[in-house]
Amino acid sequence: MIRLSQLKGQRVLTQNGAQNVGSIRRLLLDPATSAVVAAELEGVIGTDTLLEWSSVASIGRDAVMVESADSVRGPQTDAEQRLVAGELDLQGKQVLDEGGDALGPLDDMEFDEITGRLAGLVVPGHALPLDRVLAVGPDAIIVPLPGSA
Amino acid sequence: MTRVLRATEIIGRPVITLDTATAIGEIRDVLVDPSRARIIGFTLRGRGLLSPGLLGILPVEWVHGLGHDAVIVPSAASLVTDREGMSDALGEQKDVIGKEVVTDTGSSLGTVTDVVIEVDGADASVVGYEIDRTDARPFIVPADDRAAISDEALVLPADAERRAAAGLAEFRESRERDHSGHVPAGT
Repeated sequence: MIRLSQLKGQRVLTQNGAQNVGSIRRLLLDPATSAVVAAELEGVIGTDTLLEWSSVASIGRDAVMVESADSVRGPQTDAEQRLVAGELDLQGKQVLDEGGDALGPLDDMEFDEITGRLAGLVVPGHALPLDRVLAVGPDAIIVPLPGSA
Repeated sequence: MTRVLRATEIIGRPVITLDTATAIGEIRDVLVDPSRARIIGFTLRGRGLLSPGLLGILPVEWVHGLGHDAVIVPSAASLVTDREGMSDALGEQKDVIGKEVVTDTGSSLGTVTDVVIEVDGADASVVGYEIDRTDARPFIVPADDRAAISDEALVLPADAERRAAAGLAEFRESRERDHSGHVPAGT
């Protein structure tokens, strides 16, 4: 398991050329699968900023490794355009309980580094396994009432 | 957890769906039927300066949660937008803000400036009215499901005046006392 906070700002290097292709700005989540599908990079040369999660070869202590610079591309599908436009950026998204009270902004996300599957969310005060999350969307993350089973 | 608050505090609160965590609008108005001390629902408006003034009506039965920061509804389908459905709901509601309150023994208490509601999870009901008058400070009287309302006035039982509270905190306290079975002072 790995957390978004560990990856944010991490540089991305290529295995075949030791080239720095940028650093991780944010992770793009597909709400349908609850999985990280890509990373958006910053500090890149050129306009392509999308790194498919499947092309991540290794996440190390000091760098994220990809095979080659070809792994970085522009958004291709409609969904990817929307993701890059920030529609499903969970960072800082408000977390509400199902009673309508805010718990605070999303602190962090925990996910499986190989599959990209989201395992949990960290909201102020506590970590939530994903099966306790009721809904993730453009305007909020909704969780059960605190203290409910 | 039960909350007692003024209906006007809810205005502007975002309405968010439980299925897709999407905001479908914000609360524009609270629709009440004072003769039954009942909340019928809410009207919704769009969010943002250029958005529509009236998106539809959210019947109170479709409220999943009414909290400090948002109103949670099951889905966007919770919003009634067809003309017939909307006019049904609007037909049931009675404008109560600005209405004169007269007791059933013939005393005028003042004019309604706000409706006090009680929210318990997904249930919401009218429990009081805030009344203003020129010769006294505003006060809150309990609502009653035996009330009558017309274009002219809202008629409440005479003991509403006796049970008046000076503010929301006092009103909450007196409700808690009533619920726990204590006999209120003065009876």
